[in-house]
Amino acid sequence: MAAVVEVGVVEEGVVEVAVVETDDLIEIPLVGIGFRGPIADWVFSNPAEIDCVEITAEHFFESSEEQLAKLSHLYPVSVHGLGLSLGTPGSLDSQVLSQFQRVADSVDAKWISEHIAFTRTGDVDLGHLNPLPMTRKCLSTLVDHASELMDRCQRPLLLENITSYLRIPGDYSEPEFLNRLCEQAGTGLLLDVTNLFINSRNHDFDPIEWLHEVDSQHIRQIHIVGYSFHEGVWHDRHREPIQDDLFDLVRDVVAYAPVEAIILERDGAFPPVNQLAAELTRLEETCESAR
Amino acid sequence: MLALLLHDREMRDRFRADRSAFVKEFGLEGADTQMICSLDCEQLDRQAEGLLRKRKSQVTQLIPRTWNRLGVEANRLFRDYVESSAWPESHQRHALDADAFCSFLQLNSIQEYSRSEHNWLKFCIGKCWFRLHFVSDCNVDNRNRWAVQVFYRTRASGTVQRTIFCGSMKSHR
Ligand SMILES: [Fe+2]
Repeated sequence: MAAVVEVGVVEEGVVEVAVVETDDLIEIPLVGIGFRGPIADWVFSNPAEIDCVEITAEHFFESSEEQLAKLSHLYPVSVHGLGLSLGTPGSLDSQVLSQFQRVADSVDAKWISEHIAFTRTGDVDLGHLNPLPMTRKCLSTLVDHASELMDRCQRPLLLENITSYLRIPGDYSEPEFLNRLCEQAGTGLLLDVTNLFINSRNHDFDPIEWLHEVDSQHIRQIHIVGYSFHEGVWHDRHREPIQDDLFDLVRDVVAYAPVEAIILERDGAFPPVNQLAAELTRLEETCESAR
Repeated sequence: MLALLLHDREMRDRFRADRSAFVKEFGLEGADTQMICSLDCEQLDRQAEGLLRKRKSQVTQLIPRTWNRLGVEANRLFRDYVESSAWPESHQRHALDADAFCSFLQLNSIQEYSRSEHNWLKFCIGKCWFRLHFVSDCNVDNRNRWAVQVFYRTRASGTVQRTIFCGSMKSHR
């Protein structure tokens, strides 16, 4: 049975809508986009296809509160970090942590997120995300750092799976590691379905089996963007439109888990905005068909 | 150790050539030895190349004109630059990386170096509110032209650049 909606005209020009039965109302995740310079004007025009926005914290470390306030008036905002290197043993960079917190506070972030990865060690800064051995030691480092970040920001923290060409043996399988991490740190999982798809192709495993090994309650947000395939290897260049097999994977994830938001994570080769809008609409339709 | 292996091609070559000698040389023990010895060299190379590709992709977006002018030489020059320098720190690392790459091209007298694009990048990285440059390499219809570059910052629009050519004016953000 569908939800019953009563509609009545209260006075000329005013329509009152009341939902009187909510039993069967379905909750659809918010569909949003990663905020980037080339699409800034479009995002600020508040198009109907965008329900929420993700900003990269580091892009706003230098920016004024004005721009952040403008965004937060338009959308629920997720603040996504790239540079905290949660997997590096030792203390978090206090300067980066304060700047991250300032950005999260300025937009009154609905969620904050970072990666299950390391970007640097005491010896060397690799600049981008790298995989961690799924060991007890790494789990404990991540739990400590995730807790510190959450305590500092006082907002729900979601941790994201990354792509990796490198497989490192450890004490746990990846889903087991993620379950333990979310339970012990009290975080959610930001499931990047593109990263999952790419890893499953490069390392020859079944992404659906992987998905069902993760506790569904942990999966709170999705990242998605098209993949690329070059010389026998799958890559996350963040420059391609979403392929059909990724829409299928999104449907499976949304049917399985209480996902709150899906973010289109395009970083380059931006098409005209109507194409991005069409991708967001198709994501929303995919969610509707899944729930 | 994993980070060093991903960072340094020469170390990967030594690791590939003789794992036990490598472990001994760096004094690895216990679980670390097991973990490092189980790594696949091809996967290590691919991960390291992936890091370089991501770094390069950020730089190309920041200096598209210089990158296009370098053409087929761009990748080789970028690799030479990476091997001769440290990865810049801070959240502005990509812009600083592009800036350092431009300086590397300038230092090595690479003809395709674009002073005008480098000027704009330096202005974006800095905190200065206003800057003027007189340059000879502003491109119009595939020809270099003399021009005055005017850069400034506003609260509403952020960084703005205007280029005044001899006899004509173009502006872009
Ligand atoms: Fe992602």
